[in-house]
Amino acid sequence: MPYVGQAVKRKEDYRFLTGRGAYTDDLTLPGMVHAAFVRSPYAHARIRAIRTEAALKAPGVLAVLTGEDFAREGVKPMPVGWLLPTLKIPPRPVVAKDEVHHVGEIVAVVVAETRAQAEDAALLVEVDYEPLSPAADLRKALAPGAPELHPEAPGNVAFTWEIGDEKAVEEAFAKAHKVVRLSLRQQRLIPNAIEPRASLAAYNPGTGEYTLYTTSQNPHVHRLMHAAFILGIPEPKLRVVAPDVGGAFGSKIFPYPEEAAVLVAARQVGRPVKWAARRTESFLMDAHGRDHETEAEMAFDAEGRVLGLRVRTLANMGAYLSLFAPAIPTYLYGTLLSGQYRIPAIYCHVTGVFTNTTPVDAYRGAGRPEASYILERLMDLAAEEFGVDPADLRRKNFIPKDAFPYATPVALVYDSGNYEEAFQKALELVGYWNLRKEQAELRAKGRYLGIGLSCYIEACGLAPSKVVGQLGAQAGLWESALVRVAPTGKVEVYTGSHSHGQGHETAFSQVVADLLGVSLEDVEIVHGDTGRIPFGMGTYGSRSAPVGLSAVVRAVEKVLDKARRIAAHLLEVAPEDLEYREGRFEVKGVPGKAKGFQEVALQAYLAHNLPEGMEPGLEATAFFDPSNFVFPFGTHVAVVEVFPETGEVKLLRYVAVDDCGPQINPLLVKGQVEGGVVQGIAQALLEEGVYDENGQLLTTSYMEYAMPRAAHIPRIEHGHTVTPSPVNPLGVKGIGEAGTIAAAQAVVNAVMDALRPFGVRHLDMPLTPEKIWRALRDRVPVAAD
Amino acid sequence: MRLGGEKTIPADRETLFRIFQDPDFLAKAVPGAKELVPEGEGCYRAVLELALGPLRGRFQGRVLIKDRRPPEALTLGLEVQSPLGRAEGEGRVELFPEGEATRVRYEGEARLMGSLAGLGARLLQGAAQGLAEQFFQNLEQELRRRYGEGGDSSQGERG
Repeated sequence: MPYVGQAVKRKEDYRFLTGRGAYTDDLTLPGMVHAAFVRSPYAHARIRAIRTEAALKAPGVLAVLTGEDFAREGVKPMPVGWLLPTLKIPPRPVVAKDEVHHVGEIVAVVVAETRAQAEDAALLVEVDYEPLSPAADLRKALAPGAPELHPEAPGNVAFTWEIGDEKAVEEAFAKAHKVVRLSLRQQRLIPNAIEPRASLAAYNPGTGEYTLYTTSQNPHVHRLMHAAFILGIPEPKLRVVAPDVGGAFGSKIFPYPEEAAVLVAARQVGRPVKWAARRTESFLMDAHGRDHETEAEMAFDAEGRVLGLRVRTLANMGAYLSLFAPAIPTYLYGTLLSGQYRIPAIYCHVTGVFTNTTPVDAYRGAGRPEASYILERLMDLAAEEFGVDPADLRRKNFIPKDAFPYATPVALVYDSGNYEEAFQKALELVGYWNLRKEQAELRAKGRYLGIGLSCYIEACGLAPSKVVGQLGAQAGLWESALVRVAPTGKVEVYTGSHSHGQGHETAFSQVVADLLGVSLEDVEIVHGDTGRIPFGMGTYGSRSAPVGLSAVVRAVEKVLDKARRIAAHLLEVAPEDLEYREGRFEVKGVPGKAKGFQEVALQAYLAHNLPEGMEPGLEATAFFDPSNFVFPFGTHVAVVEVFPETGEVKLLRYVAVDDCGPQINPLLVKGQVEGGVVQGIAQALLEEGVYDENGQLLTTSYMEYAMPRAAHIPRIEHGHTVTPSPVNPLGVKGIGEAGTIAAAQAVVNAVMDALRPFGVRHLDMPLTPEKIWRALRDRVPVAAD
Repeated sequence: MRLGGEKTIPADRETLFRIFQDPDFLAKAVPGAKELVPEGEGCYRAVLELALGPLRGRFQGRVLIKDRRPPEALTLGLEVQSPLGRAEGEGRVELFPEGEATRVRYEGEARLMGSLAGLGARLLQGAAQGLAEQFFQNLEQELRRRYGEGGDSSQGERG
C-alpha cells in the first residue's frame, strides 16, 4: 500500500517526545563561553559615550564589544533582500554606534565564562544616552514636524507602492449602486515560538572557518547574508547549521544582529560563543508581524456583484527594514486582494512608515491574512447593507471553477480552484442554514449567537524565480534536493527546505519511499546544514511541499533513470523494456526476470559491470523552479456566542474546509491547519503588541501578551476538497499558513454577526471582553430582521 | 506614569529648600537609599534597596537636583538601573509658605523602560506613588529627629 495519502505518524516525534531533540541551546562546544547583550532602554536616543571599564573588570568577563569595535572590524549593516522602486534603506547596524532607534536595539556585547557572569556584567556597561523624541506610532511618525528616524527617509516614509488600475477603480465606483467602506487596524503580533532564538558561533583561526549553529528556517540564506553581506567573508568559510528548531512561523527566516554579533565575538575571544534569548528579548527583538491601518472600499452593482475594490494602507515597518520586510505589505498583500472573488478592478496603495519600534517582517501568513481579512470583513458588511445572507453574497461573487487559469487585476494568475465546492462543503459541515434558524430563536431569548464565514485564498510556494526577480526579490525562489542511495539501497535525501516543526522527515519520506518502492524506514531526510546540503532557500511561505518536495521528486526521477539503465544493462534488455514496480525493475511480459533496487544500488557502487561510459555511484541533484505560485484555498466557519454583560466571546465551533491539492499525509495536514487556526483565533481574540507613546513596548511577557490556551479553542472540525495544482509533479499546494490566513476573519465575522442586534458595525482585533463590553455599554439590542 | 501630591511639612521654606540639597538628609528621605555619594553639582550616585511591586533588589541609580529657584522650587530627578529595565523620574517640587509650615506640592512623571514598561501601568503606578509619599514621610520624620517636634529649625541650627 502506498504511503502517500496515509495518516502516517511522525518519524521525528520519537526524539521530540522523549526529550532527545537537539536544539541550538542544547549544544555545547569545548571552551564555550556566553554572550549577553546591552540593549537600548530608549526608543530613540543618541549615544554620547559608553563606559565599559566596570564591566571588563567583572568576574569572568572576556570582552565587551561596542558599535565602535564592530565598525572597526568592518562589520556591515544588516541586508535588505527585497527592493521596491521608491524604497529607502537606512543602515541597520549589528551593534548601534551613534543612535538607537528602538527599545531593545543592541549597544554592546558582553562575553564571559558563564551566562550569569555575562548578564551581570552587561548591567555594568554604562551608556550615556541623550534621549530624542520618538515617533512611536504610524500617525505620529507621519504627522508634520514628527521626529525623523533616518536622514535617508524624509517624513519617515520608507516607501510608497501601488498595484492595480486606479482609473478603472474610479470608474467602477462612479457607476456603483452601493459602496461599502471600512477603516480597520491589523494589530501588531509578536512571535512566540516555543524555542526562543539562540545562536552558537565558533571560529577556527587555523582555517579561518566559522560555524554558526542557529535557530533558522533557511540556513543557506543565513549563510549568504552573514558571510557575503555582513561579515564580508567568502561563503565557504561559514557553515550554518540549524539543528532541531522549535517553531518559527516566519520569525526565524531573517538574519538577526545577535547572530552576526556572536560570530564576531567568537573570532575576537577565540572561543565558541553562545547566546540564547530570554523570553523578554524575544518580545523586543524578534521581527514582529502586521501593524497596518487601512481604509478599504468596495463597490457593488444593484445585484450585489463586486465592481471594484480600493485599499489604502499605512504599514508600520518599525525602526529599520528587516530582510524581507518590504515585500510583506506590498507583493504578498496587494496581489492577494482579489481573494476568491471576481473583481473587475482593484487598486491598492501602501505607504511604508518608519517608527521607533521593533522592525516588522514576515510572520504568520505575512500579508496574505491582512488581504483576506479586508475582503471577508467587507463581504459581511456588504451583505448586511444589502440585507442578504453573507453566504449568498459570497456565492454570487466567486470566480467560477471553469474560469481557471484566472488572471486577477493584481498581477497573479490563479492556477486552479473550485471555491464553490469547498464553500458548500463547509456550509454543510457546520449546518449553516440550521444555525441561522437557531441564531434567530436564541436572539429572541436574549442570547447572541454569531456565525462567521471566511473564504480565503493564499499564494504560496513563492515562484517562479524570474517573476519574483521582476518584483524586486534579491533571491531566486527555487529549491534543491540531493538524493543519495547507499550501496545497501538505503536512501538519504538532502533537502534545501527546512523543518521547524512541520514534519518534513515524515512527509518527504512517504513520497520518496513510494517513488522508489522502499520502506519508510529506509529513507533518511537530511536538512538544516549548509555543510551537507547542496543549496537551499529554506522553509517559508508554505513552500516545502510544492517547491522543496518537487525538487526531491525530480532528483528521485534522475536516480531512477540511472538505476533503470543499470538494471537494463544487467538484464540485457533496453531500458524502455523495464517496468519499475514495488522496488523492482521487471522486464515487461517476462515474469520473474527482474532486478531489485537494492541490487542495482550495490552494482552502481561495485562498478564491476556498468554500461559503457557510465560513472559509478547512485545519486542525483535537482533544482526545481516552478512555473507559478500555488493557490490553496478553502472556507472556514466560526460559531460564537457573545455575552453582552461581560463582553466575553465563547467559540462554540470551528469548521475548516481546506484544499491543498492531494494530501501527502492527512495527519500532518490536520496538524498544520490546527496550528494555524489557533493562531488566527488568537489574533482575533487575544494577541496585541502594544507600545506606549514613548516607544516603550508594554507587552514584553506573558503577563501582558495574551497567548491562546486549550480552553480558548474548541475541537476543530475538518473537511477537505482536492483540486490538484498543475504546476508541480505531485499537484500539491502548501498548507502551513492556511489556518492563520483564514481564521481571524472567521472569528471576527462571527463576533460582529452576534453583535448585529446592538448596531455595532466593526471592532478592531483583538476582540477582548473589555473592548466588546465598552462597545455595548450604552446600546440596547433591537429585534433582528 | 504621572505622579503628584501635596504635603504640609512643619518647617519653613528656607530650611526645607536647604535640606532638599543635603546629601545626608536625602539619604534618609529617598526610600531605600543605602548610599548617596556626591558626583558633581546637584548629582549623587545612589545605591537603592527597593521593593517596587514585583521588583525587589539592590539597584544602582542617580539622584539629580536641578532648576533650583530658592526657596520656591526645584526639580528632583531619580534614575534607577535594574535587570528588568530602567526607570527615570522627574518631579517639580514647589514650596509655598503656610504660616510656620510649608506646603510642598510635587508633580512629575516616571518613565519606565524595558520590561518595567510592561509592568508599569498595572503594577507599578501605585507602588511609585507610594514611594513618593514615603519620601515626604521620611523627610518629615528626619526633620523631627533633627529638630524635634514642631520642627524648629532655628534651634537645630544654633545647636
